[in-house]
Amino acid sequence: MTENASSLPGAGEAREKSEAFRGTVQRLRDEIHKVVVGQDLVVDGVLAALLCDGHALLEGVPGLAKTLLVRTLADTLELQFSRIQFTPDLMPADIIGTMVLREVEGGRGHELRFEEGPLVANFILADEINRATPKTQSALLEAMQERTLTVSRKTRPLPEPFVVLATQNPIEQEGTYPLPEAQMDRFLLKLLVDYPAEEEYREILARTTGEAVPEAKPMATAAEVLDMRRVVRQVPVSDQVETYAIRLMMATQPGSPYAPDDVNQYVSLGSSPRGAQALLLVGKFNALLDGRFTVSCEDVRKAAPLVLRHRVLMNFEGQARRIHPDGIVARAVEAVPELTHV
Amino acid sequence: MAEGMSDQKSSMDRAVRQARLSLRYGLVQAGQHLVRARTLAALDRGLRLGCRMLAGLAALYLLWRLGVLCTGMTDPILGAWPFLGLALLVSLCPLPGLVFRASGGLENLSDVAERLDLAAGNQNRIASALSLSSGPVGSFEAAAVAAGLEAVEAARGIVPVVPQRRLPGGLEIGAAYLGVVVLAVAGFIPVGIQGPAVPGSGAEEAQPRVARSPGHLPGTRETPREAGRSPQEAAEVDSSEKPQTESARGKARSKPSPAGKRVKAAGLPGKGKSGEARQARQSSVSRGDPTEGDFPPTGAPKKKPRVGKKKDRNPPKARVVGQRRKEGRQTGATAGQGGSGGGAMSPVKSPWAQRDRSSDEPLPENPADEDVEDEIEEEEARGGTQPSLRDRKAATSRDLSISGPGEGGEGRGGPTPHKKARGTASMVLGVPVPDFVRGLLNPGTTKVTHERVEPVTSPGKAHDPASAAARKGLEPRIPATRIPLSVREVVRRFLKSLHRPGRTPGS
Repeated sequence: MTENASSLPGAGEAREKSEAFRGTVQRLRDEIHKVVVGQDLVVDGVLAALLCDGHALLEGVPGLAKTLLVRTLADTLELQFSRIQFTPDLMPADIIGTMVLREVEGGRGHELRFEEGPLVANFILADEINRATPKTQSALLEAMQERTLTVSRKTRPLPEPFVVLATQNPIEQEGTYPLPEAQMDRFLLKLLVDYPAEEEYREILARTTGEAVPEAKPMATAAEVLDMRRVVRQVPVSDQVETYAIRLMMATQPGSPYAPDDVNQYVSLGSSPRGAQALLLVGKFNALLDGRFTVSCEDVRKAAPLVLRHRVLMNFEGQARRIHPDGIVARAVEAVPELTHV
Repeated sequence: MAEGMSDQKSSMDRAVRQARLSLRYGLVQAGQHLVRARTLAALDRGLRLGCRMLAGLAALYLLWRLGVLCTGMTDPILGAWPFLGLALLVSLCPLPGLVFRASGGLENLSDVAERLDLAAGNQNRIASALSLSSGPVGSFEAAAVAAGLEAVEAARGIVPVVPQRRLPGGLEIGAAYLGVVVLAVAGFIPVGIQGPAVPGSGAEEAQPRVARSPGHLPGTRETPREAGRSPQEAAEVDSSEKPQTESARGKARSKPSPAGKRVKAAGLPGKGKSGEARQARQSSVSRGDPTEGDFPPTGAPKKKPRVGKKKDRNPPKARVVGQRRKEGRQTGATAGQGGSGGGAMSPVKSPWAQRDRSSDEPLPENPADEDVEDEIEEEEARGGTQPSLRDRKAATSRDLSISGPGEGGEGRGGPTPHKKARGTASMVLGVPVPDFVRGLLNPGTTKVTHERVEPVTSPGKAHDPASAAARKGLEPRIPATRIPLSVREVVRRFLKSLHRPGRTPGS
């Protein structure tokens, strides 16, 4: 429900933008759900990553429609889509591109030209990203953070919008390389894809074993996506909520004044400042979806598990006791009060 | 076009400023509620603090009185009831300050707004509106302020969330009562001299009337035992002992003194031991007790705990060598030392025999512990697990001639002990071979032996299949396991020590 906030001059404009935003997101959701059954949280998370100018990491067992979801989202947006299957023998040049010797037109000799790799696209699906070596994984760092590629001392900008949606399997850890912390930190969200419910299985079977194959149609263009990103960034944040987000981020850092006992005992590395940025950005997205014009502490709390779980690194004791980062984030949320002055 | 936009901007600014005034006005009433609640909370906090302080002061007073009673010193502190009055005054001192600080001053409106939001479940609309109305105004800010105004109107009758008001409960009241009782009890503890002695008072008469020796120092009391000494003995003892309390003297008596002093004190009666005990002690000294040179006296200061740098822990080489020679004899290790040597293996010499002497004395440091650490350091210095050098002995003689019983089973024929096996360290059972990779939780590469056998169904109940990957909700804070807590602690400590930084595999 949208607030009745048009009593002040200028407030009507915000209301129109908010409603347009929600309408577009709802259309995208509906279109995705034509193909993908259930997984509402994951769909919202992927949309949040897209509209908050971030990247998302999807983790789940094989067969839970991670790749299908990303492909469907790419179909609903008129964006250039590129899928990269990460394997142990994949090299950085295979995804970035490389200089190729080509004949100059007219047969006047040869020259080195840059041949773009699959990374030069709007929408990247990095499938099974943890199967590639750290060298290849690190080739994504610059692209994900600066949206540029540097080859042969020349930096090239990537097309806007640029989104990386990576998938990884939690149980197929044999022959995989865990993502380095620097790369994990560059993902805005980490989404856990769970098994569907019983009713959803029926729907999946009905859709996939029949004659008709569901298809998603384009619902938004690249320009609209960029407009929606601007709307997200226009949502203001009060001092209270900003303080809350900062304290929540600090509560995951062992030794900080807001860290609960579990964090001090089981965590070796807490969230970086990117965690606080992500908390506020996803909080803005949540506020807009909820029809509000400012971010609330509840929006930040809702974003906390998605945003912080991959930024918390457990120490040896935490791993030995099988403490999950989600539990640590929950403890941090409990420990930080909403009030600025308690 | 630009003028139109600037007009719209200025009108938006004006409207937001007015809305800010309305917001502040709406928050004043909620602020009054908050001040009242804070004052009550401060009162509550002050009373709790007072109760605890009273109990603490009473406990301190009781300890002081007991100390005075034990040491026999004079008690310059007032009696129990004046002290109780003083303690009450001290305990109530923080109360007015706390209440004054809580009730005075204007309430922070941002705080009021945050608490009002919490009470009304407004999703921070009011606090956000108040915060955003003072900054640069855009369309979203204007909309947020308008939403905040609506929320304030809706929350008009709601009291903001305030700190919990709780008057002193059972624990604090109980502590205060206990404090008063303790003070009263402490006041009735009979202390030798209560305060400075007033001439003619009962306190002066209560002191034991003893004859003072000529060499008695002013300000010290003389015990009856000391009064019975001859002047020479008293002077001798006074010159060797510093003035100290009775308890300290008792401790000093329990410590073994150097031989010279012991001879000096031998003629004094009543030194805390029976005559038989002293006699036995003297006879053992005269016999040359073999244990005396090896173990420190029980009263001697203990060795410092072995912490800090490795170099600091290493004793001088000469001492270590000497100690090892002794230990080699004491531990009964037969490697490289032949079969005899019963003199050194005498149970009188054994540290375990010392336990029979007195059970209250702390056990001496076990030299075997130090030995193990030295062995580990030696192995580390040599770059990994190695056979202990101390077990190395000269190679068995190749002389095939018949010989009698020799050292280390050398020679051939004759009634010699069994031959020692010759081999490499890996053949010796008990030598740890690293089977893990440092930094990994799981073991490293393991060798799997394949056997050509038909699969056979094992007896017993099969485990039910379970979902291996479905993650439902959050992990429990501490997962429940069936391993007992004590075993878990041992395993945890072992793993932590195993993975501590600087430790090499196999060390």
